[in-house]
Order: sequence, then structure tokens, then C-alpha cells
Amino acid sequence: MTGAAAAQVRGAETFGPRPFGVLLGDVFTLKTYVDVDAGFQLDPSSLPKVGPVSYSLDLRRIDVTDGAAPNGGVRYQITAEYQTFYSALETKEETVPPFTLAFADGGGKRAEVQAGRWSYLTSPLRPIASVSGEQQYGLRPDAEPHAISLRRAQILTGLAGGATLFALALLAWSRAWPPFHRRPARPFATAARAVRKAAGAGEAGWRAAALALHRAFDAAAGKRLFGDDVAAFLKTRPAFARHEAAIAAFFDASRRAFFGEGANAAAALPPEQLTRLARDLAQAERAT
Amino acid sequence: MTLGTLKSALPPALLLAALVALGVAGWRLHELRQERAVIQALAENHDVQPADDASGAVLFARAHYLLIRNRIDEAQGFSGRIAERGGPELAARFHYDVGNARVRRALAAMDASKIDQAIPEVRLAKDAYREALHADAELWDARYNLDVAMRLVRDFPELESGEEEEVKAQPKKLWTDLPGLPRGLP
Repeated sequence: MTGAAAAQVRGAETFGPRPFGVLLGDVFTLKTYVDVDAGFQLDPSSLPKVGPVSYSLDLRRIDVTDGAAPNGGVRYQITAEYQTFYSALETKEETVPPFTLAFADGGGKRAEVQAGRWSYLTSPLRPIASVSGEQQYGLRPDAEPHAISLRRAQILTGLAGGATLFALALLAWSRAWPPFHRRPARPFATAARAVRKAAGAGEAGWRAAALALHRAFDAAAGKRLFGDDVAAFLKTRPAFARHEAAIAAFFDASRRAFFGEGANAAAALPPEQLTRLARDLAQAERAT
Repeated sequence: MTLGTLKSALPPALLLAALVALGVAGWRLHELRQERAVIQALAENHDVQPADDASGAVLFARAHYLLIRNRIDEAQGFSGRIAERGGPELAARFHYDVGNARVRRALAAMDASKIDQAIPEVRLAKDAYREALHADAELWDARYNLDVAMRLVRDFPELESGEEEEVKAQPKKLWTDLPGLPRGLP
């Protein structure tokens, strides 16, 4: 390091974990701090490469972060993760070799500094003489494959099954399907079923279907509903307002069928239209 | 979309979503059951081939089956896929088992007094153990067996002076301390 470089690069210090009791296979992290004057930048190509550093030492990872230094320069923090594969026969001092960092400013001036040296004591895993009663080259047993645990998948399947049942119940309740078909808030759903069954079965069927629909209107309105009350009823239940024309046609046809001069009711409102009205009303009712 | 339509459309949508979830979960359970059956069959010494898209656990079970039968080269073919699908922990266990298989082979060669066949096997075993420790440093059995392998055949790097290039350039000189203890040590 030249004198000029010393002025541009201040203090390169390396900190490590406890420097003793390091065993074969251990991973340790060294932190190196380098302060440089403003204008100087670390040349990334001067960082050591990940891979084997020496016969028994691997560099696993190296990260650089920079921040402000107290004197207005830049403080680089170099975090290097090593793994040692040194098989010690006795407790022995080992050294992480230093690396050379190069810094350059825009004007082509360069400064270099050595950093990252660290010494530590490695310890053996096993004694040199065989442990009593143990084979000298006895290996630890193989890693056996584990059986896959089904617990998680079973719980998830059970939860999904429960959610399906719940959603099915919610749907049945919403549409007043059995066992919720007597739900008081769904008179039109009940009526729609009756209408679908009865409407096509001739004059008597049509009358039964119309009556069922009337009962549904009564239940929805909370009182007997006649043709003249429909407008008031639709004001309180705006969900049905979309079908106002069809409702009016139904009340008209019904009045003629029940109180008229024996006219053919089914001609005024064909069974298909009656069924469709009942179905539409049941659908509108679910939205209330 | 009004609140009303939402109220009427929500139950069927919920049912659909729940059915999809049930289907996915059920399928996954079915797959896991099949994988478990393959692992079970391998453990019971049936020569079962894993599917191409088998999970890491199944591939590891197959590799283990091959390794304990000294079919190391076949097992090596699973190396990449185990690491990819099973994660570092399973990869570490796989490399550890490879190392064990190689040391077993080396010991058999030594018993037959074929030292020159044993030495490369031990070298490869060491590489496998290092690979295992790379993937999972907490696999202590790999540390122990690497130590055993290191003492089985100790390679001597030139006295390290920090000049890594020298170390790499020179062929490693090997010596074996078999049989018995390393000489010159207490």
C-alpha cells in the first residue's frame, strides 16, 4: 500500500465469530469494513469469487453494501460466508487468506487494500485412536427416505369438503330447496315448484297453479293481495318491479278466470308464461 | 351490479369455488397416496421406477434403493432433479448417501487388497460429503463420515501459503494410513 493509497483508504477491519471451537463443516461469516474517501468506488471484479478458496475452505457467498462513513467518504461492508472442511487431527490454528480490494476514482487513480484475514482454532471431531468398542472406520448410517405425511393433504381435503357442504346448504337455503322449502321468506320459490308441476295440467291445473301463485303474493305482501294493490306492493318490494307488466297480466288473467264468464283462462295467460313468471319471481325474491 | 344480484349470485359462486377447492385438494391427496405407495414399495425391496414428474422425496427413495445396492452410477442421475424438486435438505441427504455408498465400495476394495481402486472411490466420497455439507451444513452425520473418509485417505495439499493457484495446479499427492493409525502421531 502506498502512502497516497493509505490516505484514500482508511482502516480495513475484519470481524468474525468466536475464533475457536470451529469444526469440520462449520459455516462462519466474516464482516469486513473499509472506509474510502469520497469519489472512490470499489471495483467489483476485485472481490474474491465464490468457490473453493483453498484445499479445505470454501467461500459460499459474498455480499457488498455501502453506506456513509463518518468523514464524508463511503464505508463498504463486505460480508463473506465461508465453510471449512478441514479435518483436524488435533486443535490447530487455521487462517482465512486475505483478499485484495481495489478502489478507483473517476480520474483513473487506484488504491488497493488487503482485508479479510482471519485466524481461528479448529478442533477435531473424533480422537485419533478409535473410540473403545467402535470400529475404526465405522460410518454413520445412511439417511433413510421418510414416508410422506398425508396429514396436511387430508386436513385440506376435509376442510374443502366441509366448505362444499356449507356452500351447498347456503345455496339450498337461498333457493328454498329441501330441507328449507318451507322457508317463510321464500313463498315464490315454493309457488314456482307448485306452478311448474300444475300449470300444464289443463284448466284445473292452471287454476291450482294460479292459486298457488296468489298464495305466494299474499305471503309476500303479508295480506290478501288484489289486482289493485299490486302497484303499492311493488313500491314496498322494488325487487319485483322488473316484472310489473307480467304481474299485471297475471292478475288480469286470474280475475277473468275466477270471476269472469267462464272464459278459457289458459288462453289469456298460457301455462308457459305462468311458469316463467313464477320462476322469475322466485329469482327476484332471492335478491331481496 | 346491485347488492341484490350479489346476494342471489353469491351462493352458487361459493359452491363452485368450494367444489374446485375440493377437487384440487382431493387430487393432491390422491397423488401423495400414490407417492407414498412408491416409497413403501421401494422400502420393501420392490424394483419400482418413479414417474417422470415424481417429487423429490420419491426420487430420493429411488436413489437410496439404488445406492444400498451399489448401483451408484444409476443413482447419480437423480442428483439434479432431487435438488430441484426436494430442496437443499433432501439434496444433502442424497449426496451423503452417495458418499456412504462410495466409502462402502472403497472398504470392500481394501478388503480385497485393491488399494488403487479404493483411493479414487474415497476421493469421490469426500466430494459427495462436501456437496452434502454445502447443501445442508447441519447434516452432522456427513461431517462425521467426511472426517472418517479424510483419515481413510488423506490427501496432502502442498503446504498452504495462501497461493491457491499452486495448490490447484499441482496434482494431489495421496497417502493412505491403512492399515492402522497415522504414523508419527501420538
